[in-house]
Amino acid sequence: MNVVLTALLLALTVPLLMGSWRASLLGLAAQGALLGWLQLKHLAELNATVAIQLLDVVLLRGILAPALLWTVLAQRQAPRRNDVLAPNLLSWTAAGALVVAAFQFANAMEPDQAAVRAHVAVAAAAVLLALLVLASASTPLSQVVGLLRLENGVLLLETTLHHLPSPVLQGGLTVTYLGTVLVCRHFLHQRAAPAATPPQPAQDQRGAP
Amino acid sequence: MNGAQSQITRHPARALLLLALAGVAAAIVFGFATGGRTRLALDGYLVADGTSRLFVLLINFVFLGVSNHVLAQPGPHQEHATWRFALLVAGFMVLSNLAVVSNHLLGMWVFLEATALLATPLILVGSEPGAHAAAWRYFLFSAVGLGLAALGFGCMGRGAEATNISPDLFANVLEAHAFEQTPDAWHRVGLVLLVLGFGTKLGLAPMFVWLPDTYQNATPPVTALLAAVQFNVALVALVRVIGALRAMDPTLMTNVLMAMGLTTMVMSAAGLIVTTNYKRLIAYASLNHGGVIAVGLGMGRDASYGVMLYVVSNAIIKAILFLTAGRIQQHYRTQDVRQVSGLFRALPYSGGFFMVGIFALLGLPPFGSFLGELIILSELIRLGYFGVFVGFCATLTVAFVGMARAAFPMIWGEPPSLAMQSGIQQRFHQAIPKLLLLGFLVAMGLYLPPPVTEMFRQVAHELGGP
Repeated sequence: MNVVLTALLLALTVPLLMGSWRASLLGLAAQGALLGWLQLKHLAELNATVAIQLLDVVLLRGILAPALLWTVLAQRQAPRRNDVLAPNLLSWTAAGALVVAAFQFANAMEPDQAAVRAHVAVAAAAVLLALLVLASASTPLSQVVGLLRLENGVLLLETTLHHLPSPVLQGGLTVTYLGTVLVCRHFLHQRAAPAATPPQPAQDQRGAP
Repeated sequence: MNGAQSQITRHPARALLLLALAGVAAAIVFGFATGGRTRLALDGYLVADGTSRLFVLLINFVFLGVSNHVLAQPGPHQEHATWRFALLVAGFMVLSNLAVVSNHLLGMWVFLEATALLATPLILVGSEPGAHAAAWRYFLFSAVGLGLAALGFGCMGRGAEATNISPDLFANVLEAHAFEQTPDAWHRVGLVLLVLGFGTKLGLAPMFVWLPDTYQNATPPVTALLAAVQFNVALVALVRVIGALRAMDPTLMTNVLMAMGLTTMVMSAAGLIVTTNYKRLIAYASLNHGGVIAVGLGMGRDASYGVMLYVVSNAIIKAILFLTAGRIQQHYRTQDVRQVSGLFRALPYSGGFFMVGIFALLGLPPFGSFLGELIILSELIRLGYFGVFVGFCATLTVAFVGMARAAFPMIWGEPPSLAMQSGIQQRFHQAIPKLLLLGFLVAMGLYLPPPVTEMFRQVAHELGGP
């Protein structure tokens, strides 16, 4: 596994152990920057799609998205402490097990191509950790972090592909990502958004608004 | 509110109605004037085939009914009387139409994601107490579901590169090459993720929790758009994936769809028994429909025609019911089924629509949903899915009991005291939008003109039917 993928794996796991929203957003920024580094392999055949992709990962995912969320949380004076993953041994063990499972998955899916195998393993780890965060998150901020981690994991898998979409499609993907970040920012700004948990039975029985 | 103010606030609604009329006109031209053959445009990115023709007609027709309802609402409704609302809805409809006519699966994904981003602020419109939480839940599940679908595309791409096949995501190209490909693990994982991802947008298990809350807490026109427009746009996405990729591994596709469908039906039946909120009741019925559709799609073949009848019929039923539910809530000032009675006497038009809508929802003749279910059930027997047949019938029975038990007392009986009613009278012209939808619904069950029947057959054929 090369330096970039190792750094990515660290950017995926270390922020989970730090119960701070700043660490979570810095982790997202680091993931974006490292994804940009991975995309540099396409620099030799620079075209519109590659240019948009680089803007997407470096500017949007690496800088703008974390910055937009950072400013709204700083404005709202959000408490420093925010655990995207419950700070206990069980959660950390589950996260570790998922990383191991991701590597096992990559071994099974790409038995012959060592270079791609490591890439797929880190991508699978990114997706599985994101799903773990989403499954265990109870605050909107943690859910936003989980969602953006999932988006990065999907992109990481797509960077293993040689075939690129058309510039218009790539632009559409970038615009929808930006739209997603803006909607997340809106809900964090409202701050009143409760967690996406099933409603209480009393709410159903009451019926009338 | 004085006349001048009323006139000002109705401009956005009028603009929406004009857009809807233009949409229906364009849909009719697109549906019947482009010929029966499949045609591609814009280098293959857009397609005019049976699926796109039928669903463009359907979603624009439903939008016409919804926009007419918004304009005809009694009294000024500030939440729907703004240009912001009109622009969001207009953008939502344009993107929905583009998603339906998209031949490129990734392009379709982009349009579907964009409609979800526009739908989120629409759910926030109005003053329902739970709208904020419901909008967040809707957005989060939508984004995660479509994220899983994107992951599915990535897996399909890896599978294509591993087998040296071009990973183009044009639906017609994929379908043409699906028979040639020996599915490897990447293809199978991708297939499951695609069905799971797009199934989330339909409210299929396991990720359906968002649907009842969203449908309950959004305003009636927005709920009707989500239930009858966005639901069908997501269904088109799933249909395209199934049509393009089924041949790769038919058994896996059937098993996944049937498992998701049957589980959804079971969960929805449980919800129908428990709930005492009539908007939530209709939402759980919508979940039930999604499950039936998934089971039908899982079988494909001769069940496809029944699935299409069922889909179109239920789109109109849901639009009628959610718009009517809004009127009922306005009058009775409650969503509790136990506090609503004597609908026929208190609101004759709404009572009639609600009754007919519930009968259609229950799958009674002469509605298209009855025939659709019958075809699906007969195919389950013919193809030997006896276990699924038993589960299907059991959950439908439970769903029937749950809905009837809650809805019938609402329709008949004595209306509550006048103090508990809003006192706003319902006029005939306000019922016209739903009458139009109802007319089409009944016509579907009795007689379909040959061009429309041919359209249904084309779609069924594209799904693997005869």
